[in-house]
Amino acid sequence: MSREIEVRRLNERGISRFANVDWGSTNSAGDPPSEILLEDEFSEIVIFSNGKTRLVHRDAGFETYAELVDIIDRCLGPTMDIGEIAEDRGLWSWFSLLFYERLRNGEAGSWKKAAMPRFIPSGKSNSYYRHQVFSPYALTKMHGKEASEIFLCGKTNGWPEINEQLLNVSAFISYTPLIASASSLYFDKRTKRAKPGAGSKDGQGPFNGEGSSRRLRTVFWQLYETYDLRSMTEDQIIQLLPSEFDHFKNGDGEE
Amino acid sequence: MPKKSKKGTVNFTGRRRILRDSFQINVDWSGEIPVVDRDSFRLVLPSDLPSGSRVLVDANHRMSYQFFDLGKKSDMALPEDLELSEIGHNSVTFLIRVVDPATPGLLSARSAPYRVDPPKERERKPKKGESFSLLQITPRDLNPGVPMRVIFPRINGSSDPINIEVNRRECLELHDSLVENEDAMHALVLPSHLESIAERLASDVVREVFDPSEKASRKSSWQSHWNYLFSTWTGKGLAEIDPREPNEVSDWIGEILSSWCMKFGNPARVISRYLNPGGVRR
Repeated sequence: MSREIEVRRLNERGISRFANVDWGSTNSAGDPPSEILLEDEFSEIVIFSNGKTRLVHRDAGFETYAELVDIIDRCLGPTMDIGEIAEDRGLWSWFSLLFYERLRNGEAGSWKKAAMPRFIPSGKSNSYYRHQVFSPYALTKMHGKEASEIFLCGKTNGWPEINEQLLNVSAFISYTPLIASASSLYFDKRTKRAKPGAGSKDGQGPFNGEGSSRRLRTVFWQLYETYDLRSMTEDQIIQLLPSEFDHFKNGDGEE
Repeated sequence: MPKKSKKGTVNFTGRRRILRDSFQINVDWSGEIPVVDRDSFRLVLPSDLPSGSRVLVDANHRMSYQFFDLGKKSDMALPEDLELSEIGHNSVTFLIRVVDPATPGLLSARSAPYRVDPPKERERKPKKGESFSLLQITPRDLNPGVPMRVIFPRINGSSDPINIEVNRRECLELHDSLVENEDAMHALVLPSHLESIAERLASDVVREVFDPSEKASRKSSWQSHWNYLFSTWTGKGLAEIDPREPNEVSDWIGEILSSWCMKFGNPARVISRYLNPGGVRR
């Protein structure tokens, strides 16, 4: 039976306590300090700009980022201004502590290695996009669920390679047709998952890395030098891509 | 088998570069919403660009983006609203683009990204009981060719910070980058300094210059402060290892670096991106 609790934010002590988790491959040293979630010494209830608090289901179940975004969106409300909460480090740290077991690969007493910026916003330009709760939520708020679907289809206990490759490019992530073009290329509407080869590293995968999200990032920067990508539609952007992307342009990620 | 690469295609489009000295963009950070400063704005475009070219200025911060439409080159003018409402009081990267009127979607000219940072809060001396600095970056006159060096406090028992002295005659830019917390410079510089600090601590324990079991307080030595800091990162300080055993010290330093790198957010990747901008494969 799910329980609703008021949304809180971790204070500096709470963030520090959370940060002391062992982020390497580990045993119970990686267990989350869940006891601090509701303790006033480590967190406080958030009063949003409309003067109200919000409730979230503590035991909400989800597997994909799309499902997680739904939970956060229902909690914060559809009219929430992303600008109000984007920089609230304590809020997003609290959410990731709340859902820790679903966000980190492993289980109590046995955890895989994880990057702390995925759980505690780093504030640094090179890793802020990795926060597993904020990033997909912000993406959806900005661009909508359909345009963002490739970045939302992955399981939440990992950080998909496609997200890692493309979401750190500020010029890419801030324009909806670019985000939508990535979804158009790599999201398989039939399986609701990424197409094979979409997240391949160089020289690997079914297409030896050709046309992958890594390559899209490289080609994006080359096109950026020459084309006014911000005036283009999703289709125009995709048409610009070289032939190595044909596997993905043609629909099913097959030759 | 050779890899396909877009870069291998010769495709000269005549796109021009708007040089840095051809424009000036300042931001007035004094209000609640920062504003592009109208009075100091300047832009000189190459004279041979078509007069009907559309001129735009992009402003970007992380996921946030907005643009200012300056109209056509022939009668360029800043729009009335110059507020950086999407950016807020954050560092903003500007980019000027000029679109070819004859070929929509093709850039006639573009500037390199130009970053403007909000002013830092005025530095003040910490009050009693407040946090204080363990590490400072200081411009100094160093021997020619020497970019920087680490200077440990010379007075026994001092709680002064460790200084990274940077050659102010020959690479003041390095000092500025470090002080302004540029990620790439921190990623390049700090790991080796952290290593030398930890090695110095271990050496000082062996020489009995400081007691690693001493509890850190405001008046403790700089060694105690750093030992305490490292112990919060790794779960152990020099009292928990044998500083005379090189392997134990080496392992401890490895944990310090790993811990710092995790907190920083992958400095190795930051360096890779810095050295390989745009992800162009070699």
